[in-house]
Amino acid sequence: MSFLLLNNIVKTFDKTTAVDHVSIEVQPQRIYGMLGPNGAGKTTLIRIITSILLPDSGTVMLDGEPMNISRTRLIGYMPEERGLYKKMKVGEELMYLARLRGLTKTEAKEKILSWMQRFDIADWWDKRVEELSKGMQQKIQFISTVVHQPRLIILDEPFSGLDPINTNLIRSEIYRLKAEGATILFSTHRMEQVEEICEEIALIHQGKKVLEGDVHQLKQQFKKHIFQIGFSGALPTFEQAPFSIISQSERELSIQATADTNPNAILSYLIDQGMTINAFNELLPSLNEIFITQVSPISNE
Amino acid sequence: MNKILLIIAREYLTRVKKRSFLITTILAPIGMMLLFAMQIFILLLDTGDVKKIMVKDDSGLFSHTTVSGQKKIRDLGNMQFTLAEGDLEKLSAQYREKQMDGLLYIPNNHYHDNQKSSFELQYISDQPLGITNVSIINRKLSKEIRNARLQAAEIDQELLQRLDKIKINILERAVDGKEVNSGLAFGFGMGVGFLMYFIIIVYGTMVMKGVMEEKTNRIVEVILSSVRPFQLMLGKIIGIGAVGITQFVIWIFLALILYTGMGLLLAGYLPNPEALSGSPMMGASPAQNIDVEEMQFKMQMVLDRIGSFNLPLLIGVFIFYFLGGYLLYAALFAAVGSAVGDDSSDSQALVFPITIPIMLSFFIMMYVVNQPNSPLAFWSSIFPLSSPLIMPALMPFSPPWWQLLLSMVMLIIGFMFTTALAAKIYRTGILMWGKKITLREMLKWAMR
Repeated sequence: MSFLLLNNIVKTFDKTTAVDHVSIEVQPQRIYGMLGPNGAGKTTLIRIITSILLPDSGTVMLDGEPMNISRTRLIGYMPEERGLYKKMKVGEELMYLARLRGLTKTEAKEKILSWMQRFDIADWWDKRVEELSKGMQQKIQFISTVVHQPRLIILDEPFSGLDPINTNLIRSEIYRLKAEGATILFSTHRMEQVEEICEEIALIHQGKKVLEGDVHQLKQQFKKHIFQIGFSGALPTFEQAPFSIISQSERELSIQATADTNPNAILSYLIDQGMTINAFNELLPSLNEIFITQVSPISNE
Repeated sequence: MNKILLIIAREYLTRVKKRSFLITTILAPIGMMLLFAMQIFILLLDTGDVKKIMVKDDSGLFSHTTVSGQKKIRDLGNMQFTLAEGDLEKLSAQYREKQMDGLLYIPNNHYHDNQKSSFELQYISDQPLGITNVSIINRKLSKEIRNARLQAAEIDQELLQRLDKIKINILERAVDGKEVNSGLAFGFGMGVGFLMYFIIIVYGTMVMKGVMEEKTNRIVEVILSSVRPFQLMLGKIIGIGAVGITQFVIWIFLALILYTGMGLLLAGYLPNPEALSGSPMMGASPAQNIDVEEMQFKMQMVLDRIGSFNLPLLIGVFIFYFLGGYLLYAALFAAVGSAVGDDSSDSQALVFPITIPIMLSFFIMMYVVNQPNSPLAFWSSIFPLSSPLIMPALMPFSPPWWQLLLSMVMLIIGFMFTTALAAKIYRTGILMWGKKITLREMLKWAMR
């Protein structure tokens, strides 16, 4: 059973349709990516999931039940536009945010302290937020997102503005939280950033879902059968080759095969030609490339 | 419900715990009190430089002749006088040698001529005489001229003093026998109206700034994933309202301390009119005594009249309109705060439609305390945007109870209306960044 189910969501503002009949299904304990350029409608979709906005039509089901504001404790949401009260102390601020999400005073304190210890910032409790560097504030923001042990963690452009250390920290925390049972929903326009994290994705463009599926399968589906071959020695003449050559240099060769060509056949042909193969690699399309191939026919309408 | 309490607590505590709250609430009034006390103190201990002045009195008005035939002159204020005779030219060259500060020349100038009303004296010195000394000499001489002329006209001095004491008090009575006092009601109404104006502007702006802070800080979306926008808006309005109430309670407390303190201070000085007038010489004159008595009499009258107001009703009405007016306008200020983007300079244009009714009400209030029975007074005390300023100001004039009741009901309806309106604008505006929002758009959101 899916953990999060969006069914035919529609949302319009004035005359623009921000979300146009989008359905999304996220399985439990998966890392799901919602990808698309700025203005595609991702943030609107997230605001509908978190009950900040109500859809014009369509339903949101979370863990088998309809979503509403009283169930927001199940969700930990880090918006793209995120910030903190600058004048508050770190401890006070985290306590406030944790309690708003429904934790009791003692629960909140215990959880916050353990997170602060994990991030090595246990002595920041009495520091004012405005005294912290941006990277430090990002840690506080992440703690405030996950402190109440949400079952669904929604991260909107999580890596924008993050320094490399925090990026790695948050990435590893995401894997850990997933292992502990959380489902994670990513939203970003920087597709290359989430390619290796997400297991499943949906491509959103102009309010519509244009594509969805398992990342690995999508790459297989959209691959162009291009292989990159590293070799040493002299180049053969490629008579009767089962592929065409895209480019070649002293050490590297790019070739284009067809869908019914077995990679083994290519390899054995090259070996038969007397080449010494150092590397053999199929070039899979990036999510970005897939997105462009999917979107251009729509844009050209 | 629990969440709204959390929001109220945060809004309240973060403000009350701030250093600036302590400064504006406690230190500023104390500082003002000290400044005021210091002024009184300086006045009481007036230690101006003593001026030694040589007087050539040709008129004989300034000096008097004793029984033994000696001419004498009394010192005035900080001035010590020495009589001198002789040529003016010579004297003006001499005064410095005799260690005097200056020479006062009072020519004999037909002071007894009733047609003449302005006279000139000369003061010769290299230092100015000073405004206080000028007025003391002026007063002394006027009085002497007056007395001399009255004597010449053979008017009894005692009768004159009695004539000076005539006072007229108009006791106004309403038909139902309630006593009113236009002057006092006017003052009281103005004071309360001004206070309401101040409260709405100051705390309304505080709400607006708070909303803008959340929006520009980008924390608002995090919070809105846990609470409804309406809860956040209402929590902020109530929390800041509680800050205002706290501030007022502290001020009332300080005022009570001040009142008792001043009472003790005055009790120590008032029976001694010389201390109040600052100079033993001036205090000795009968005119000064009358002033002090009159002041005490007036004070007593004011206190009696305040006692004649229905104080519990006045305070109750004030609290009602304080809360109602604050809630009504705070919601509107919150709506504007939510619509203002990162550039707070846009806020000016959007705040204007709110400040106009407040300022207008203030001007109407100033008119209404003079004309408490005018149609304008009636309608503006009913209309919810102006009633928070007008109705408390009208209370000392004992408006009919049904007018008060109607005004209160209208204010409750008005407050619910503006809050609903503001909530709609707030809900849309608070999550809108990077776009300049016009008044028309705000109205469109409100009507949706």
